[in-house]
Amino acid sequence: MAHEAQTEPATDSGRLPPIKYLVVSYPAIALVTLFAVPLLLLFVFSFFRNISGGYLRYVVTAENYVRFLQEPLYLDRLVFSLRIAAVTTLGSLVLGYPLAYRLATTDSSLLRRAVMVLVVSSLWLTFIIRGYAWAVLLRSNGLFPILAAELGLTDAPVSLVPGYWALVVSMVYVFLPFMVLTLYTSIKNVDHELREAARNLGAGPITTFRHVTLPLTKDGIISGSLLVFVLSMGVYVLPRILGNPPQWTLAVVIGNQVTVESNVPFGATLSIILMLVVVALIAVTVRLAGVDTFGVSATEEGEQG
Amino acid sequence: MSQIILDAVEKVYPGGVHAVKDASLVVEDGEFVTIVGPSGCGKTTTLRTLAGFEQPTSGTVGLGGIEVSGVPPNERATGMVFQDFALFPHMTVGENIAFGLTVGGDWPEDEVDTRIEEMLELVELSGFRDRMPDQLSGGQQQRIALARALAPEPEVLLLDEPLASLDKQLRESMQVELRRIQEQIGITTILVTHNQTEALTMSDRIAVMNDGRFEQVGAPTEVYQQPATKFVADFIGTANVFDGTVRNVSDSRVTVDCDGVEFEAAAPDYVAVGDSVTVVTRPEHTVVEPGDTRTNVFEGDVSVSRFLGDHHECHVTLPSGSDVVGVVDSDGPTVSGGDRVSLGVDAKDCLVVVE
Amino acid sequence: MSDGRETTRSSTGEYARLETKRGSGRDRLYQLLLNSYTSLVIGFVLLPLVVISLMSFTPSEFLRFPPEGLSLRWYREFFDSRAWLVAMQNSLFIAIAAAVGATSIGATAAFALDRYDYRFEMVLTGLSILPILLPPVIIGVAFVTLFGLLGVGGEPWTLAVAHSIFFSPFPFVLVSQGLGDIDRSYEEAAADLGAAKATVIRRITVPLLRANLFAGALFAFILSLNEYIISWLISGFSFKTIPIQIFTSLRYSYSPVIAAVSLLFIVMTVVVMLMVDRFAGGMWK
Repeated sequence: MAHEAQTEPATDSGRLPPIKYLVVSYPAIALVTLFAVPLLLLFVFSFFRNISGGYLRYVVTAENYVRFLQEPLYLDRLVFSLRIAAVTTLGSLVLGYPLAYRLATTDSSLLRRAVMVLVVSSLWLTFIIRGYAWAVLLRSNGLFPILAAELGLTDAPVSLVPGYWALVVSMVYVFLPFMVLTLYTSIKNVDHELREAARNLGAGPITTFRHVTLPLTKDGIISGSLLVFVLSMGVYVLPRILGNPPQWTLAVVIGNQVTVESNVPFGATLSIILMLVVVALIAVTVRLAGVDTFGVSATEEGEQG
Repeated sequence: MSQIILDAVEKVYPGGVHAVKDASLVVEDGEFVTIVGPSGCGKTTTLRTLAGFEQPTSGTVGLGGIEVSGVPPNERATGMVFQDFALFPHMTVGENIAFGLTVGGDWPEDEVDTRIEEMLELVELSGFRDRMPDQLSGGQQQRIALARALAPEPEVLLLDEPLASLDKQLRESMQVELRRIQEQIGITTILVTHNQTEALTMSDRIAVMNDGRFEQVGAPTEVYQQPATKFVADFIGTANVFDGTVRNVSDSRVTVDCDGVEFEAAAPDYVAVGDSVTVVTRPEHTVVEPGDTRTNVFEGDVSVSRFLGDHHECHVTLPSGSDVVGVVDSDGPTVSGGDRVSLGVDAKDCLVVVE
Repeated sequence: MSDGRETTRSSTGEYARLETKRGSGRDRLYQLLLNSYTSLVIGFVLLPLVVISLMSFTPSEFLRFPPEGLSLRWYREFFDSRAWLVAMQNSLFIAIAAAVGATSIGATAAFALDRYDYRFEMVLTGLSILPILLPPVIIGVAFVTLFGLLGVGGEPWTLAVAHSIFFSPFPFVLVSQGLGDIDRSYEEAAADLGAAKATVIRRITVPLLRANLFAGALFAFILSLNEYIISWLISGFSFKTIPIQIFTSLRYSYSPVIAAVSLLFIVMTVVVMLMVDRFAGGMWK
C-alpha cells in the first residue's frame, strides 16, 4: 500500500514514460525504416541519372522531371489516369448508391448478409482474376459479344477486349465494393426514423430521398468517391490485361520503367509525381469537404464529467 | 478510525475544466454516504479520485488511514460498481467474481471457490455461476457487479450511479437490497447519484454537490429540513423559493418582503435588515385555503390541481408571476384551474436562506 | 398530397383504405424499380464469378454454352504442375508472414495512439494509414530502391516485409475502432479489482479485441495472397506467387487452368470472409 507517490501531473492516470515509448517504438521504427525511408529514397533516386544497363549515377539532376514535362507521352498518361479515375468513380457511384441504399434499408438480413459477403469477397479477389473474368466475358467468343450478335447489334461477335470500354467496365467492377461499403455505412447511419418522420409529414419517397437521405449521406458519397478515385489512380493490372497502350495508366508506365526499361530513377520520378497528385487530391478533398477518409480521425477521447 | 478522507481536493482537467473545487469530506467506518448532484457537478470525478482513476490536482485523499495520492487503482482497497456494471463480457459470472480474487494473488486458491459461492448467496443468485453476463437481466447484472466488487473484501465500496440503468420498480427494490447488503457487511460505502430520492432513502448522510463544490453535508432529515443554500433546497425535495429583502429583525422573527408578499419566519442569527435572502417553503407546509389562521397568508390563481391519492397538489400563480406548489388537505375545499385561493404557511415552516 | 393526408386522418375506414392503397401503390413502384436495378447490379457483381466457376469445370479448352459437361481436368493440371504448386507455396508463406507482420505493426500502433499521448501523434497516424492510400506501384518502386541499396531482394521474405507494411493500415483501422468501442469501465473495473496494467491488457483488453485482431490479420492475409504489382516488382523474376503466375500465363492463353486456380482462390476468400464475419460478430448486421 505504501506506494510512494509518483508526483506526476495528472495527465493520464499515472503512466510511466518508458513503457509508453517502448510500446510505440516497434510500429514507429517499422513504419519509419520500411515506409518513410523508402519513400525518401524514392525522392532521392528521382534526382539520379540512369545509365542504360541497370546502372545509375549518383548526381543531383532535375533532368528526369524535365523529361516528364517535355515528353507529351507522360503528361498524357497522367491526364488519362485522371480521366479514367473520374469515369470509374462516376460509374461506381451510379451502380453503388442504389445497391447500398437497398442493403441498408432492406428488412431481409439474409439478403444483406449474402450480398455483403459477395461484395466483400469480390473486393479481396486479385484484380488479375477479376480482369481475367472480364476478358473471358468480352472477348469475341465471350458472352457479351455473342449476345450482341444474337440480338443483331453486330453482324458477328466482335471482341471488346482490349479496349477502352473493357477497361472502364472492369475498373467499375473492381472498385464498386469500396463504394458500396462506404455508402452502406453512411446510409445505415441515417436514423430510419428520420425517413419515417419525413413520410409522416407528407413527403413522398422522392422528396424524402432528396431532402433527407441524400443530404445526410453527402459525407459518405464524398469519402466513397475519394477512395475510389484515389485507388483508381494507382491501377496497374487492369490496363495491362484489358487495355492497349492508349489505355495504359501512369502506373503501368512506372512499372515498365522499372522492369522493362530498368530505369529506376525515372520510375521514381514518375512515382513521386503520381504520389504528389494523389496526396494533393486527398488533402484538397479533406480540406474542402471536411471528411475523414477511411473512418479514422486523429483526435478522439472526451473528458469525464 | 476514519475510513475515507478528502481534504481540500481540487481537480482541474488539462482542458481547463474545473471539475472539483475544494472538496473536503470525512466518511466514518461503516457509514453510507451519498454524493448527490446534477450531472456534471463533479460527483463522478470525486468518486473516481477515490478509486484512483483520477489524480487530484491538489489536496489529499486518504483511505483507511493511509494517504493514497499516487497509488494506482489496483493497489487500493476499493470495490467499485460501475454505472453500466462493466461485467467482463467474455467471462462467466463465476469468472467475473473470481477475477478480483485471483489477479492480486493474495487470496488462497482453495478458498476462491467458497468465496464465489458465498458472494452469489449474498446477492441471492446461487446457481448463476456459469451464466454469461449477457444472459442476465439488468437487476441480476447489478447484483453480480456488486458481488464482484465485494468479493476481494475491499475496505470501501464505491457505487457510481449503479441503479440509473434500471427501471423504476427494479430501482426501488434494489435500493432496499443494496442497503440490506451494506448493513449486513458493514462496509463503508459511497454512492454517487443524481436521484435525490435515492439519496434521501438510502444514506446515513448526504453530500449535496453543485458546480464542483459540496454545498451541504448532513443527515437526510437535516438536509431536507434545514437546507443550507437555495440550491440544496431546490435540489432536495420540492421547494417554493421566494427571493426577497429583509425588512425587519426582532429577537426570534424576521420579516422578509418578497415581491409584495411579506413572510414572517424564524430568524437565523446572521441576517440584518436590508439583506437579500431567499425564503423556502415545502409544498406540504404550504396549505391551500387553510381552515385555521397561519402566520403568512397570501393569494394567487390556481393553474393546475392534481389528485395524488391522499391529497391534492395545487400549482398556484401569484400576482408577482411566481409559481407556488401547495397542498389541499383531505378535508379541504375542492379547487380547480382559475380559482382564486389563499395560501397559508406557518412562520416555523419558512426557512430563510442566505446565499 | 395534402387532401390525401386529410382523408387518412378521417375516421371512416373506407376513405382511409382507398387512400392507403393509392399511396402504397406508388411506393411499391419505386421499390420495384430500386429492386430491379439493384438486382442487375448484383448480377453484374456475380456474373464474372459464375463464368470463372463454369469455366474451371469445362472439359474443353474453351467455355461453350451450353457446357459440354463437367470435368476436373484443369484442377488436375494445377495439382500436377510444379510451377503452380511452388507459386502457391510462396503465396501462402508470404501471406501468413504478412498477416502476422501487418497485424503486429498496425495493432501496436493503434494501441499506442489510443492509450498514450505523443508529441508526433499526427505523424504516426499518417504513417499508419498512408500505405494503403498510395498507389501500390509507388510502394513497389520504393521497396525496389531500398532493397537495391541494401543488396537484398528476389527472395520471398523481402516481399513479406513489404506486404507487412503495405497492409498494416487494415489491422490499424480495425483495432483503432475496437479500442474506441471498448467501454473503458471494463479495464477500470479490472484495475479496481486489483489487476496490474499488464494483467488488464492480457486478460481484458486483448480478449475484447480478439475479433478485431483476427479480422485484421485475415484481411492482411487475403490481400497479400492477391497482391500483384508490388510482388512482381520485388520478385525481380526470381520467384513467383500465384498472381504472378496467373499474369504470366495470361500472356500465352486464357487457359481454363487459370479459372481453376481462380476458383480455388475465390473459395478460399469466401471461406475466410465468412470466418471474419463470424468472429467479428456480424460486421454488417
